[in-house]
Amino acid sequence: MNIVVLAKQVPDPEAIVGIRGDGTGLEIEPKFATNLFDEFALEEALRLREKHGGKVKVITLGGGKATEVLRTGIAMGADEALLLDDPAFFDGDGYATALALSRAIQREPFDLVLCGKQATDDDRSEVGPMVAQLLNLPHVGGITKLDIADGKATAESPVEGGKAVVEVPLPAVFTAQKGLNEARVPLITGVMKAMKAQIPKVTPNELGLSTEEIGKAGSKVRIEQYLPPKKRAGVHFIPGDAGEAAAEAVRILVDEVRVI
Amino acid sequence: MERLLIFVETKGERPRKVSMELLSEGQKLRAQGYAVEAVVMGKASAALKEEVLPCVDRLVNLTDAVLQNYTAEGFALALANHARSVDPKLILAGATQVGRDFLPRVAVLLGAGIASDVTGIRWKEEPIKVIRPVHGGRALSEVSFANYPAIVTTRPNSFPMEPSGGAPGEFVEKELGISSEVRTKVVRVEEVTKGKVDVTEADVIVTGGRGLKGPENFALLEELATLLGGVVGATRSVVDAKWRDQGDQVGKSGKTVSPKLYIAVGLSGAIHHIMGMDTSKMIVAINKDSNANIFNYADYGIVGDLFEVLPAMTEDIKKRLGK
Amino acid sequence: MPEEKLDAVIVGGGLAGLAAAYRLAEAGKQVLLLERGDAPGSKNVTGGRIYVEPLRTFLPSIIDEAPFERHVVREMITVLDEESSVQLEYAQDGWRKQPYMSYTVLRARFDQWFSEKVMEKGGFVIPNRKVDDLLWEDGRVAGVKAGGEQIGAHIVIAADGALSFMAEKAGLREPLKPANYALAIKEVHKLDEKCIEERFGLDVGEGAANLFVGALTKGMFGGGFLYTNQDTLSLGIVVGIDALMHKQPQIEAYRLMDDFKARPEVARWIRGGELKEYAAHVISEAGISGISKLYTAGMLVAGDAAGFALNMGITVRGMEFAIASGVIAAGVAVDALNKGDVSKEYLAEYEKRLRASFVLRDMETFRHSKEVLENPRLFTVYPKFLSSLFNVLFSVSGTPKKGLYKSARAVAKEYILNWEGMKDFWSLRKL
Ligand SMILES: Cc1cc2nc3c(=O)[nH]c(=O)nc-3n(C[C@H](O)[C@H](O)[C@H](O)COP(=O)(O)OP(=O)(O)OC[C@H]3O[C@@H](n4cnc5c(N)ncnc54)[C@H](O)[C@@H]3O)c2cc1C
Ligand SMILES: Cc1cc2nc3c(=O)[nH]c(=O)nc-3n(C[C@H](O)[C@H](O)[C@H](O)COP(=O)(O)OP(=O)(O)OC[C@H]3O[C@@H](n4cnc5c(N)ncnc54)[C@H](O)[C@@H]3O)c2cc1C
Ligand SMILES: Nc1ncnc2c1ncn2[C@@H]1O[C@H](COP(=O)(O)O)[C@@H](O)[C@H]1O
Repeated sequence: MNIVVLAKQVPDPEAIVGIRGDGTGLEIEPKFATNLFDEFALEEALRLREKHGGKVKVITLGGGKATEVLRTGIAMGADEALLLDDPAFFDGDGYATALALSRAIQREPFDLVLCGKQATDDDRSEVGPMVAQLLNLPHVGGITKLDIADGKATAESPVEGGKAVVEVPLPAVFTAQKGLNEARVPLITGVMKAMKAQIPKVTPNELGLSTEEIGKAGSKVRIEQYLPPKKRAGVHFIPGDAGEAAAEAVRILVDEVRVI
Repeated sequence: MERLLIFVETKGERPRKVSMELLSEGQKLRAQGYAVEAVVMGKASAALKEEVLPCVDRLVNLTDAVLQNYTAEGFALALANHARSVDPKLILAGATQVGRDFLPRVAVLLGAGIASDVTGIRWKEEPIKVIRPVHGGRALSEVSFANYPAIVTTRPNSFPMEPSGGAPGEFVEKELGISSEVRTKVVRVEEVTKGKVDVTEADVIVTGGRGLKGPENFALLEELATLLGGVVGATRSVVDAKWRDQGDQVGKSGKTVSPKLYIAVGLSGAIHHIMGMDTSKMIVAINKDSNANIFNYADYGIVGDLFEVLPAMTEDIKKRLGK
Repeated sequence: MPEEKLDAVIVGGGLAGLAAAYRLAEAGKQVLLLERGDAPGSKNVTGGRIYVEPLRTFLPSIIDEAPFERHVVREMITVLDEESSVQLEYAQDGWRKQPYMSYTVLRARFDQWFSEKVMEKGGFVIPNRKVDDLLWEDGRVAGVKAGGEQIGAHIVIAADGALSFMAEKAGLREPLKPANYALAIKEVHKLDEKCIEERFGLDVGEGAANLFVGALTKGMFGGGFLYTNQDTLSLGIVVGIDALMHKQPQIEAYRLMDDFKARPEVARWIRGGELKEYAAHVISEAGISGISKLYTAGMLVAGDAAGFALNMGITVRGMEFAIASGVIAAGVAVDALNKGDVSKEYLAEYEKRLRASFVLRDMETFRHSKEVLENPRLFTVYPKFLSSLFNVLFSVSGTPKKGLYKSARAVAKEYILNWEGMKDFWSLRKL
């Protein structure tokens, strides 16, 4: 079984995020991590391979240190990696990103695409379903369980107050969320192997894409500016012992804020 | 005349709260010259019609059998198909699990731009600009679209719900004949807790963290939440310890919520948690540690033992409500 | 036991470990460095100043491109009494000219850079890996255990910092004694670059160091420090753990830090700054008597792990020792690997080379500094004497002033011209 995993490098959740003075961009402390949900996707791919054989390929679109995501993938046990690091690919909206990734996926036959539910930088949650549509495949979003048998996949995803069990024929796309598995910590020997690995790259041209179709140029959504979130006035500590503080809190909620 | 198309998501027989928020927004826009259409999948109940029709010029019910149950493929095909005949300027839907799951497919099918999980729309500007939080709410991005139609999913509790009576619009049933194209099969839907309000849509959330000490103590939170007409949320530590369901987890790897009132009890306020609740309108924190990070994000703080403060608050509210 | 062996495994990605890894990688050896923190430098605490001259011979090719913060052109010493203080300032034109003598550093940035240099040379630096134990083979160290994995190596260099468990596990040193350690608390406050320069009267790129001694440690051995970085200030205190444990009434270290920051002499520097980091760490203060055995078959110990640090109450020197000892250890390791001899006998070479270097020489020179500096009078009586003296000099009240000499002598008599004072003075000859 050939499994493709889409994984993205995002700023570490603890990185400081600031807004450039003129609002045209963000200034983010250069601390990176693999997108949390993509680690679940990767882990699931490795488990499926361990069970059914085949190979796992990790694909990422990104520049700079984005190769680290691929090396993490290899360290965890992925067989292959592919990097889309031409600047023409960058700064795209969900659609432009999904277009490039879907072409990269199509370069070789595959049975399964696994990706994360959401990238925690842009918080879009679009690429997985878009890739599925671009490849004209079914997808199941936010899965917490996945079983493969007889060319079919049975996946579970939580729905409000319960869960849905759905069945799709392969190939298909799945987006992973918390609860699917616990991602493994790569072995030291795995990390050493990954650090030495040559990472193949692919250009827009090789994917049959013009630079007009991808990245910022190919985006249908434009970022006009960044704004700071609403700032809170700062905490007001309610004084007194437990009883007094509770009474005052209730008074504030009822009389001043009228939330009750 | 410019048209809006609102996807109405249902919960049981009724429209979801976030759909009503959008319809309420739509109603305001009707006054400004937009034609507002709604679309609902499956079988529209009488109750639903009663709630939706006064807000719209037309409600279209797509009735294909395959739309009885949610599948991303089916809903996307149906909505895209229908939208082509409406030619709206914007397609609006709630940024719920369902909305966020299938509208990106609609965007591809229509070649439309999409902005997900939006918290504000600047209707008066041209092109229209929408605001969406990024990086877990640490910045807002203002975006516009290269062309129309464009798609916007909105975060629950971000738009005021103030439907006012209006002349009921037209109701139309329509079958698209797409059933054979859908490959996804819903095997079963298991509902464990039926009818419970989801944390993402609750007006009031009382969230407990590891400070609660054990699952049994969440009864304290349940009681307070019920009095306030709200629900109980949980931190990841609590979910990982299996004290609460994954569905209740608030934060980066859980759900993003924006209730009117968020009461954080016995939780430290790790950045991962903050990312899921920072857009709450009012935050009250109870923690015995005055240095807890949650206080950096709270409007009101009580430094104290939750096992003393919570029961006292509950008693006091009961008194006020005359219970 | 793993089949294949690496040339060298280094435990700890502080300066000692990184320096050793760099030298080994440069010599073409296969080297793996394991660091338990998120990244090299992420768990490391340093007050902030490094002297570069001793390092020129050890890291000739790269020391000058290191990401230092500011070169220090102004030294300040503030002696604090309970409600008053005396400050001395020393500046020298020579310090303003290249090559600079010392720089302030932030370890997160510095160590990250160093780690990239190691990787450029082909060394492996893997963070988030805690080494749990040593692997043994025929009575010699033959690798490490980390998170259930066994990594074989011909030679292991323990560079795991002041509380080195590796040295202890190898039987090279006794379990730790509180008396040999000081506790340090350090904060980093963010402040605008321009603001720092104006506040401290510095030109672009220049830095200041301010050391504090006296009432802030409430009679305990130790002191405070403040260093200017590019756009942050490093601020902290150091106190002996033993003194802290026996202090009556008990006081928590963080309280000392809070009181220190509240002093106007400190508050004025950090005003308007935003607290960015807070860290606590230990420092070996045993001096040369705290040095462990430095090697055993298959293993060398470097940096703080070996006890190479000098705590002189108000200044701590450890970074140069860490880098130099790391480089020396790597040099010995390279020779041992080339010869195929990692026996204890061969590795004795390490101690020889250290003795010939400034590392053990400086440690020897300051052999007695601890006894002298541990004298509580240094942190109570002398600050009081100084501040009373200046009080006499500068105060004018309603009553007629006595002659200056008379007043000063009275103050001196009260505080230092007595038997205790003589003893203290006599002990200074050991420094
Ligand atoms: C990649 C990643 C994703 C994550 N995603 C999420 C997420 O989505 N949501 C999430 O919540 N976390 C998430 N986390 C975990 C997060 O970092 C924290 O570990 C977690 O939120 C801590 O939970 P807590 O506040 O319940 O527990 P703690 O941090 O242990 O806090 C307990 C608090 O209770 C207080 N307390 C104890 N007893 C009492 C008492 N009697 N009265 C009053 N106060 C008391 C304590 O002072 C303390 O502040 C994530 C972590 C990672 C690494
Ligand atoms: C507050 C303070 C102020 C100081 N000021 C100065 C100063 O101004 N100038 C100066 O020269 N020196 C100063 N020092 C001393 C200096 O910081 C140290 O001497 C120096 O950091 C020693 O370097 P090292 O590499 O030996 O140890 P460390 O820098 O402590 O590095 C040890 C590394 O090993 C890692 N480690 C430990 N155990 C394991 C394990 N089991 N597995 C994997 N990794 C492990 C740790 O995470 C750490 O990264 C100061 C120290 C302190 C605490
Ligand atoms: N640049 C990218 N490279 C690789 N995968 C990506 C990229 N962007 C998004 N993805 C995948 O799509 C998922 C959803 O991303 P998003 O739609 O941006 O929230 C992520 O969890 C990844 O699996």
